[in-house]
Amino acid sequence: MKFHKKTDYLIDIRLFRDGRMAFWYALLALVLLLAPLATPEYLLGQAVFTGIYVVAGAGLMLLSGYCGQISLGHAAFLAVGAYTSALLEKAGVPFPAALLAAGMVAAATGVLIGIPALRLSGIYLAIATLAYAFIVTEVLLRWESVTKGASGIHVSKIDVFGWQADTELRLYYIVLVVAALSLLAVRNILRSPLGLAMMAVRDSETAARTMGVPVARVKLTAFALSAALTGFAGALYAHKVPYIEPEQFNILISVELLVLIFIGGIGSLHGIVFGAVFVISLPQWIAIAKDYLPAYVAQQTGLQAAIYGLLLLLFIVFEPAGLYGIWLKIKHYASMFPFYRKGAMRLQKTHAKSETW
Amino acid sequence: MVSPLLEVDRLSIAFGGIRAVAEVSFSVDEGEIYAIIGPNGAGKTTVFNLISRLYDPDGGAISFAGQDLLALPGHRIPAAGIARTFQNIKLFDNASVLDNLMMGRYLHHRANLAQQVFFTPFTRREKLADRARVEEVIDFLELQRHRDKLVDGLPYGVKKVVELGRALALEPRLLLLDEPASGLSPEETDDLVFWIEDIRDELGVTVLMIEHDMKLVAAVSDRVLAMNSGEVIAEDAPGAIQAHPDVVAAYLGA
Amino acid sequence: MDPAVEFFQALVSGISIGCIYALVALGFVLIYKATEVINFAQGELMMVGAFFAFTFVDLGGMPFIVGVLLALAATALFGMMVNLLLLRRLVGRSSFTIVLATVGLGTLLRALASMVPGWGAETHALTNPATGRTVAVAGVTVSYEHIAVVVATIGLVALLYVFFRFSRLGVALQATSQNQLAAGYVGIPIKAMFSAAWGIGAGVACVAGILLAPSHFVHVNMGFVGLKAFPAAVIGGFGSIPGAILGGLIIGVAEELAGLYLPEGFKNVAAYVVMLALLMVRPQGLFGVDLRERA
Repeated sequence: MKFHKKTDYLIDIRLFRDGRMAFWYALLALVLLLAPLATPEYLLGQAVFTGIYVVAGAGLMLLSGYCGQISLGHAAFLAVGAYTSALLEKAGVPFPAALLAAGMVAAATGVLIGIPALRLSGIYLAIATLAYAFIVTEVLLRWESVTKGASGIHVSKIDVFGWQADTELRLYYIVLVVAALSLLAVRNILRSPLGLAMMAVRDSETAARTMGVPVARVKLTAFALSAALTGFAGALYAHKVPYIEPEQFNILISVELLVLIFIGGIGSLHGIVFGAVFVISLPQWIAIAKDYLPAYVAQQTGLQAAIYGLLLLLFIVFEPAGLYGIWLKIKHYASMFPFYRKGAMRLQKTHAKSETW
Repeated sequence: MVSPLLEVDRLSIAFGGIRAVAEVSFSVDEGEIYAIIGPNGAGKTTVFNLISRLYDPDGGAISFAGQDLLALPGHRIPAAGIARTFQNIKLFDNASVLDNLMMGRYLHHRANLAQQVFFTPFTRREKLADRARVEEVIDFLELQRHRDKLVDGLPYGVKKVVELGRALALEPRLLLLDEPASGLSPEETDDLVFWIEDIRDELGVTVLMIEHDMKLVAAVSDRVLAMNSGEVIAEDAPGAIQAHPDVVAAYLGA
Repeated sequence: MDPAVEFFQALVSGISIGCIYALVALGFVLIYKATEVINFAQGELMMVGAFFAFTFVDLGGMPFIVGVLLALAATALFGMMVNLLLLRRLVGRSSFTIVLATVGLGTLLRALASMVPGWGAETHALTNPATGRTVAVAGVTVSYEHIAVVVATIGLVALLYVFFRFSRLGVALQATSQNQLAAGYVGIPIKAMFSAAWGIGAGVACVAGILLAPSHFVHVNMGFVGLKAFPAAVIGGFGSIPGAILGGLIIGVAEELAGLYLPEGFKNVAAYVVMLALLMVRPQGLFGVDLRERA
């Protein structure tokens, strides 16, 4: 069992708690960089989707998980990012600029939603975000002169001054970098005053105000940053698909993102990754499981959605700390073995916890 | 004659048809420990809420260190130098004690958004400096044992101390304490007496407190204001106020 | 067509669909008031209710009234079961968790409904006695179905009013809505009240589904129509029953008018635009209570 002896304040805010932790993450980085060279194309594609969802999930976790503002319509930011990037690149803008622009435009949209949201709380806020998502999708559908409406847009390959991401492998590396940077950005925000302020706003606006936190400004910043991250994800998504049309960014995607952050583990960075892996790989697991199910059940088109809904409910009822919570329990069990006490990690009926790591 | 640190002049507010605070006037000198007493519903917490600008008064004025407080929005009050605790404890439940205390340092940071997202050395230095200041508060209030614990599961008495610590971390000039002793055991209340005195003597903070515990009030206060039904009924030294006929009548019901 | 007639035609359609929105919103608000649960699966309850009616009337061959009553009972029971199996385990959890839970429930119900033999993913018609018949009033075509919707809505609302005002259970439910702790202290069995609230909420959803069937048909995605009930409830002011009804009507009429006078696409988002516009000036809705934190 490892006991962490702290000898200076830096330990609490450093990226890696100690050398051992840094070692494991370096190993992980190595695997992520080298393994794809020997991976089949199809799995690489799945990895790309996972990376994209990590970026989008990071955005939603920031807004809903850390700042407490429920967003039921996050797919709207995905859409804005995707269309901004696709349209700019069609006009000849190089990818890095288009990516940045996608984030900026999405952030602007985020502020637009954020301003009326300032006066709203709880359920009003949630439904307002839902409303906004519907409106954004409708606008994209009807603004045919620009977005080609329901016909959609075919997105060109990523082009960085001549270097094209024309293979899945190249796209993978780009997504890997963006995903890693996104997680780092969220981590930085969390250990900075803004992150603390966001969590304060989540837990008690009145107390936060008493501490001098400009609540409105913090909320708007959260909306903007969250939207920007999701906008980046949208831009990458556009290149992966590579054909986008408004119907793709529907409420089911928004729900998927919410499921991602919850099942992953609300309030934890690891949770974002766990959640993304879960959401992307679930259809694969179901496809494998079909062989073991009775024929009538296996054939149903609704099977995937049913399992999805059922898993969500099971996690909510039995494991609200999500996959990250399970991961912590396993680590705890392993470190305490054979002195593990059953009550040590019993489910506590408390609210979601927030950790900076 | 030095002017008072806090001046409240004919403050009034009504909610619906109820006059919660009616023409309340008093002043607090720098370095004083000033207590407000009164039965439940007297309007004491409402006065606090008016001073910390959670409500807008219907009439009257508040000035702090010569500045008109009513011109400031709620979240600028701490910057002006006023910190407060709450009757019903408003801590950040999902954060650790340390994080709650660090929130008190929010005002003192200067890093902008970009510096925070990229966690520049400037941000890191500020964060470490904040941590050092917060550790001083932790030392002062003996919260070392609870530093990393989640606030949610802590005993009530400890939570009250954490809230006090959070207010102190702000380094205020004036500290508003709303019933600091409620829910505390006699031993904890004794600690509170020493802490409040130390807050005034060592940290140089002026204390304005609402309190029911007359033992505490008598032990630390320089002056006491008695309120009832939104109005001021007496102002005097702690010993004298307890004998004041209007105060006795208010508590016992004439 | 004469513009005045067009307008009134839109008004009639708007009131009709508005009544259905109102009913879904009503069930939603009932559950919220009594249990503080925000039920994002209300639309799916409506879908289940419609399917029950379809099963009894069309598949089972029963007379319409009998089938409807059976469906009402079945849906109410279904709602109570949902409360028992799921919501009871979530007491005390954050509203984010509960919202997510009801969203998951909705997804599950949609998927399971598509797997029921006889239901499946196809669109079905619910045979009802009012189909096809219309009456003309001053040039405006009013179908019997429109009339049935309005009459049924008024009847149901009146019934609920009497129930809440004068029956023991109704008064007990009101007490629970206003202050759960106090209601518990005077001996009201809170858990049973929650079940009752879900039963009634589901029953109301069932009625809405049956009324919606003629125009939108019975299929597993029916519940999405119910999404509009949320703006309705919000416009009326969350937690206000008359507000929910008014909100539903406002949205129904706004939608039809938008479809008539505004370019294509506005009709789909009319509900949301109206809601956002109202929330700008009145964050708590028309009759709502300020939900913000008290100092």
